[in-house]
Amino acid sequence: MRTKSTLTRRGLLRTGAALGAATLATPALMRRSYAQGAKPFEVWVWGGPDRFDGRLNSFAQAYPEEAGTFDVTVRSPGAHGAEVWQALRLALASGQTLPDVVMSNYIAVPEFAELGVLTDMSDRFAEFEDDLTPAGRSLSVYNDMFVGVPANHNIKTWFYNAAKFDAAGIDPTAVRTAADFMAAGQAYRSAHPDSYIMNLGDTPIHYNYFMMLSHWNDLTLANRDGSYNITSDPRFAEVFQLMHDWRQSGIAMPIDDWSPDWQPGFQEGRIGSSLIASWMLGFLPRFMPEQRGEWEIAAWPDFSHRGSEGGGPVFMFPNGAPNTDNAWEFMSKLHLSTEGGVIDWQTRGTIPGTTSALSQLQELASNVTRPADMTDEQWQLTPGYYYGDGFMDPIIAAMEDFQVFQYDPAAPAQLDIMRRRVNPYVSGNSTLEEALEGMQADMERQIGNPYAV
Amino acid sequence: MTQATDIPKPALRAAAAETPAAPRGAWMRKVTPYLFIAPFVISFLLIFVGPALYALGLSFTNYRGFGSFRWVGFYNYVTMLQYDAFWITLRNTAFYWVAHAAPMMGIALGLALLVRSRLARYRRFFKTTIFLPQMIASVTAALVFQNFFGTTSGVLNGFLGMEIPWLTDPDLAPWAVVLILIWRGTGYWFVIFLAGLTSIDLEIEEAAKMDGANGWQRLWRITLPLMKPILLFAFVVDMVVTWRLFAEPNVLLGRAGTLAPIEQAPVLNLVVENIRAGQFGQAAATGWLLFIIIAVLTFVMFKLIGSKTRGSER
Repeated sequence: MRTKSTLTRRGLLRTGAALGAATLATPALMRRSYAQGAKPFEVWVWGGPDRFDGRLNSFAQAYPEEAGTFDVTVRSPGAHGAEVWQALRLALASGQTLPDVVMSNYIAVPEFAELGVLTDMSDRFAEFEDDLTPAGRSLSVYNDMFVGVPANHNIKTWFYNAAKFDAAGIDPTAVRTAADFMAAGQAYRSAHPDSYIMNLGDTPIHYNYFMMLSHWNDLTLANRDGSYNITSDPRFAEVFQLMHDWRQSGIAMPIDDWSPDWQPGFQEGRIGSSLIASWMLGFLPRFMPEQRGEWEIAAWPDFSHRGSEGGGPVFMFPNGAPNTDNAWEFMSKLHLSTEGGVIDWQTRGTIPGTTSALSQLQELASNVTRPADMTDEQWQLTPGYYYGDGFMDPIIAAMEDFQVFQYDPAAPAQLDIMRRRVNPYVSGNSTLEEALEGMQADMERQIGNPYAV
Repeated sequence: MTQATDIPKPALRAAAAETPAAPRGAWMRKVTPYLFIAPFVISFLLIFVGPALYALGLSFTNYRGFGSFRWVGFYNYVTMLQYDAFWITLRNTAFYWVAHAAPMMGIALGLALLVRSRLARYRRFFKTTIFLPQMIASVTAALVFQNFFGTTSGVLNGFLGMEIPWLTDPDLAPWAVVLILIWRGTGYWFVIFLAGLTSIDLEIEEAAKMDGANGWQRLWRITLPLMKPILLFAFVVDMVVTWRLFAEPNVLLGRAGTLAPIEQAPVLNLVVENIRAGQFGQAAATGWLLFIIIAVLTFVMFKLIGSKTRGSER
């Protein structure tokens, strides 16, 4: 006879306790506190609280005596930047205590700045202003007001497989015009029939478009009076047509960034170069460690050498937060001082926004040496080991051309509409006129005047 | 009154002695059920009805979640109804519902019949195995399938020796989503159907067998008619869940924090996109439109259930 299983009281209590523990553990995963010193502040980041660990380590290395004076609470409202913006909006709506500092991509800065949510940090920036690079300044400022500390710079960078380029007779520094790039792509395909000079699929991510559009610093989607420029400014058509032509000519491998085929595309040698941003420095050593020394770095071709990939992440300070002074002291020391900037680049690869830190790291990168406390595994993942001496030179040179697209307060909504209307054109499923007119009509109808906030 | 004479006198005295307390006992009896349901009712009002009414109010404003706002009347509803993306996502959601529901229910019922039949051995193993996909989080399942369907490096294309763009071809990508929905949902409905089949009295089937009915006849004329209420319940619940579909298409077809392309997106994407963009008014209006659609479809399905069930009972 089979024993009948029943739920005992003890079993029920155990299950309840397990569920309770799980419920309590969930917020703990989202939050991490470093209770150390007398200067508390709360910071919000995306991608998990441990994303801030690297910065805490950098700070401790740069300022070992001061690290213990801070009491940092790290919260992560979500995996992506959009979830941080959303959490900040909800905090503002509910009237709860605001975080002292929030990491956000620059794209959301106009929305919060226009609505008066961000603290004017202009007075505090005075002592650092002379040392700021133009790139650092462009990430710190909105409408001539200092609103945030630049945490990194997404510089337009061209990564390429030097041996494959040599075999195809392509010199990246000689590729200047869009026609040159197309010719280089075709030459590359002739020399390497199983490989491509770039990848571009049917559903590009918005940064593919904005990297190109940010080449012009006076280009805007909308004006302050609420009128849109998409159909009237020919530069939108120029960029979209260029990407359409790359996709349709066959020089691009038809897969998109971050798709399941992207990393294998690099590993298998099917992607021979990538017009992308400086954050890719850290990904190639992880994607294909065996190709160490084969990949080199150049600036984007002249036809689109200016701009950036969304500017970069910024630490912004909401008005009315209780510990702005402490948060500012930590962030400014880490990202605006020479010591902090150099150490954070050495440990995490972030590109600082100060001239003094940049010149020091350029010197360090010209003769890369392994830090004494680094394991083999860590060392092999560093850009210095992977690309070799001088790898920062083209990136620092490209920083001269760094500029941020003129985003407006409705930028998060505009990204979705742009992808929706332009992706079908790039993949050959609609016309340029349909893309431009549809994009403008959708923005007019669904967003209206982005500055009417 | 004649019965009172049968009651022993001590009992009558005891009843008389308790009479003053009777009103309190009656009051407690009336209140107790409400006390039991009070936690649910209070939490339902606070967590569901309250926010829903707040969202209804928001849907008539251009509120961003903070700062000032303006009443805009039905503007958010009108613009959403004029937005072709709304109709495209409605069509997509309807497709996901129709395309996955019938095969999934068919497979689940078929497996339940097989496991219940005398042919099946290792029933406990099959019950666990078939239910297993339901235990995997939808996001995790979609990530696994993303690698399964990869164009150049996917498992499926590797097996086929081809490069079919399962996830990027606008005609193929929705079918990949349908496959995940079937794969995940089958185990859940399998368990429900198995429970329903267990409740069918075996004597009815035995009697039919004695009368000479073969297996197909017993399935068609006894099992399925008796399972009809459960099947219709399953279709209604699955319909409601599918109209709120979000994770599977977006994890499978979106990338790096972006959502699935509108051409394959479910209607809930428009709510999420508007929330992400700080357009709370528009998000609320879209949410209420979705609620109306689900309510209408549910009403129609319940009407259908009512008539069919009554029909089968007659």
